[in-house]
Amino acid sequence: MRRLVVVGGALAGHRAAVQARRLDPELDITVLAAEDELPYQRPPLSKGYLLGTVSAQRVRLRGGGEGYRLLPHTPALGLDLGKSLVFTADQVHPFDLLVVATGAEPRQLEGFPPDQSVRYLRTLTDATRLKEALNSIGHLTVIGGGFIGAEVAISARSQGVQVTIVEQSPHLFSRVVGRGVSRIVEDNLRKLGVQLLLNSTTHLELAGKQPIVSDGTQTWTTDLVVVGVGVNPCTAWLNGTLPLAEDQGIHVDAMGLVTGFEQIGAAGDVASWDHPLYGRSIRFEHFEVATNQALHTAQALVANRRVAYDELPFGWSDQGDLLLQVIGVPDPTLIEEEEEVEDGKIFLYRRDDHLEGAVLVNAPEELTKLRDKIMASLRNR
Amino acid sequence: MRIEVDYDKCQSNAVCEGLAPSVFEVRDDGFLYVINENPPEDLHSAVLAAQAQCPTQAISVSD
Ligand SMILES: Cc1cc2nc3c(=O)[nH]c(=O)nc-3n(C[C@H](O)[C@H](O)[C@H](O)COP(=O)(O)OP(=O)(O)OC[C@H]3O[C@@H](n4cnc5c(N)ncnc54)[C@H](O)[C@@H]3O)c2cc1C
Repeated sequence: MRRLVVVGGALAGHRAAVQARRLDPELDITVLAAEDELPYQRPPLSKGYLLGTVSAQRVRLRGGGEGYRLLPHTPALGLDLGKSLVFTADQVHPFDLLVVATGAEPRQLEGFPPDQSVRYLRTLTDATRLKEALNSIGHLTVIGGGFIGAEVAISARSQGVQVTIVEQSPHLFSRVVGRGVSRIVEDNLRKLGVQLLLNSTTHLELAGKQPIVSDGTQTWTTDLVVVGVGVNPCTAWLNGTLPLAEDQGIHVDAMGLVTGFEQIGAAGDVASWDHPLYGRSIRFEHFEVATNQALHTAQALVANRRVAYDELPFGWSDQGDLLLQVIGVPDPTLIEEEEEVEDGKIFLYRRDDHLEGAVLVNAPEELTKLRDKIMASLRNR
Repeated sequence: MRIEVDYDKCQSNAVCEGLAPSVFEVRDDGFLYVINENPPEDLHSAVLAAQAQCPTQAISVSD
């Protein structure tokens, strides 16, 4: 019997295991999961789950743990390519096929070690603890002006908490979108009463019950610090056994196989896939990309059906009343064009006359049209 | 017309329910249910709008 080992028991891991089961009812499937949880969705963790509108039950993926052997609380600690084995604390797991879906983890900010008053948000446990804390604090400091930080800020604001966001760049979201989008997001946050400190770097003057934060020009006391300064793909356990791309994701070809391997695939936040339309390998941190890549990888490995993932990456963020949707790659260094549509705005990003991506602000009805347009533009290149 | 929802992608935003309430329903348990997988022709344009406007792109439609 062929054995598939999946490392990572969250979105991409669960999806790959389910798809593998569909393709081969006989396959022996083991999923090694670091967390002690059935697979769940992370997007609500900074939004509805923090607000209490989405329950712990609702964040679960349907059918989690069914059709495969899920070993919770069993992180993979190493990979032996010669013997085709994955190591965990007290076992070895031989495989014929391997999917790596270990995702990403929050980048730790120097000087802000996680403790009672300094939090990072990635897991359901993190979110549950943060949710409890938000009930009893008056002031929150969010360090890092990215999607997750801004979402946490809005969730906290709507529960009456005072919020300060500190961002070292001149604009929020500056790593992922252009100025026009940043401006709308910033205006929205200010309107909600969030204080923005841009161009600002902080340090923790005093940790503990009532932390004191300073950015060099001002010093303030806060009740809680949430750090959201990006994530790193979880590859340390591989100890260099699999090739990494420039962006530090595991380098994967367009079909989902790790470059140079026929029996190993990788999908989701940990993986940097060669994208046929962009002509380079790109690592995404979008929910939708992980769900789709997982299917391609499972299919390539289990059924030897190799289909290139050449869809346009798609992600979204809820910012209170703003729905932001990102399609393609809206590289912030590209020229940004703004267009008014019915109830919202769209922003187009071009490289040498070719559309590479777009951001839609409260304009979901434009998505299909834009996707087609960007596709056509990239294909004609 | 046949409707398929990728429940892993669905976040129960209920945009679809707003556009086609006789086809999509978010129940008290917080999950989305498709209550009519083969809707009649007069609902097709509403379903197509739901597919296009789903904030997380969880709905697909085939003939
Ligand atoms: C708070 C939050 C909000 C988000 N909101 C959005 C959103 O609105 N829209 C959007 O498009 N995306 C959003 N995302 C991103 C989205 O959730 C990710 O793209 C998605 O979770 C990626 O799935 P994955 O399975 O690749 O990785 P992950 O979800 O990170 O799962 C990887 C799993 O592998 C486990 N693991 C790590 N190392 C090991 C090991 N050595 N052995 C075994 N297991 C291991 C981890 O513990 C984890 O459970 C959000 C993310 C967060 C954290």
